[in-house]
Amino acid sequence: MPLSAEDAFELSKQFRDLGINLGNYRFANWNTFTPTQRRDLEDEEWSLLNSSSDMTTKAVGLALEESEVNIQNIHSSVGKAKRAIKKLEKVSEVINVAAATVGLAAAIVAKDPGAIAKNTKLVLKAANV
Amino acid sequence: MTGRMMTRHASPSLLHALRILSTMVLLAFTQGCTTNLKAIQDFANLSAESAQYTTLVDEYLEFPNRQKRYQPPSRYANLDAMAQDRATQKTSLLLRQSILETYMESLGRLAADEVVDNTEELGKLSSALEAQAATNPKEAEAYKKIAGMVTTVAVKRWRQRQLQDLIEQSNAPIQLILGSLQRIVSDGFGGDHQTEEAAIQNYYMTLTMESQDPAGKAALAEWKEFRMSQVHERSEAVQTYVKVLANISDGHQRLFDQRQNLSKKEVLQQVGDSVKDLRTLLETIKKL
Repeated sequence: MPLSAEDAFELSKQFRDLGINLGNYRFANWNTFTPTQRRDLEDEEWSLLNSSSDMTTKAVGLALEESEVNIQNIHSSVGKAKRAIKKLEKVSEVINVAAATVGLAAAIVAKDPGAIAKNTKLVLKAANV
Repeated sequence: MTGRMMTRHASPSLLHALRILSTMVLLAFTQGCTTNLKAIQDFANLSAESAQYTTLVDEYLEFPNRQKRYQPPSRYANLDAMAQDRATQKTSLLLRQSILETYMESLGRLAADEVVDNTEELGKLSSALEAQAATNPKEAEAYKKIAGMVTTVAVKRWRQRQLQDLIEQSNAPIQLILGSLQRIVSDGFGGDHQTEEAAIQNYYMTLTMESQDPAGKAALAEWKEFRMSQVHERSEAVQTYVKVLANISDGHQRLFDQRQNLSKKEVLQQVGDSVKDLRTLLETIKKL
């Protein structure tokens, strides 16, 4: 089973905790160790902390890979939204209201209630409402 | 002749009819669709602004170099390789924030009233009305007002549908991206800070334990405290940014859950509350 970002973050934490515990152990028992033993222990601590950081780098990389498909989906949605905004900036491209409202104007001027109702519906239809 | 007089001069009955019609049109169209969506616009704009905060990415990339302060030279090759690996992630990390910013900007623009410009439509309408032989100036003016309302309301309605569609289509990927970013920031960038604290502790404690000089020990303690406080400050920025991302995630989820009622006062009130929280968090993070 391939390593997931979640697994890698967890491993990173475990390496770090081991490094910290080893450091605490070295300082708590400082006087019982020889200088060489202290250096060896310190070396192991750096190894563990760097393994933790390497695993963090790996985890971030995996998290980025895992979310890649969502980036593509958002790109597509943003593209649609931008087209909608462009249309909004020029109302005539959103709704062909002008033609329909002219009909409504004529109906109002003619004082024809039936035509007013019909043309109001047409305006609504043109506006896709 | 009488009919001509009625159309040439202000026809009270017609103007009255126009007033009634305008009221009807408003009532018919405006229910739930003329509400100001400024709260959504503000939420989107603040979310977009927060995505411009890229300091944490820079700190993540710089982490291996900062470690050189504390680690022995024998570790530098490992740290250089780590820096190279992280550098290759920079574009992808910034892309997550930039796509979030672009998306939120689009959301904000769709929610903004000022984007709608129906001047051209109304201009065409005026010309068409003037061409109507039987239209007198007052009628034309009155009609133009109604047409203006109809157009504006219709466009607002259309815009809300676009907004609704955008939120509906984007919520799932946005939540996943935000979740992934929260993880990266919290466990990745936050994890680095814990490691940095451990490195500071190792470095200064080792020097202190080896030292026989009380003044030197005191100086080391001060330096340790200074370095720790720098890390704590960066940790605070990480925690605040995680809250920012969580706030954006909750806010967007609320918009998705209430997408059918985006113009409802209660929904806008809730979004307004998120905006206040988001603004406070952003002000905090900017000070760090």
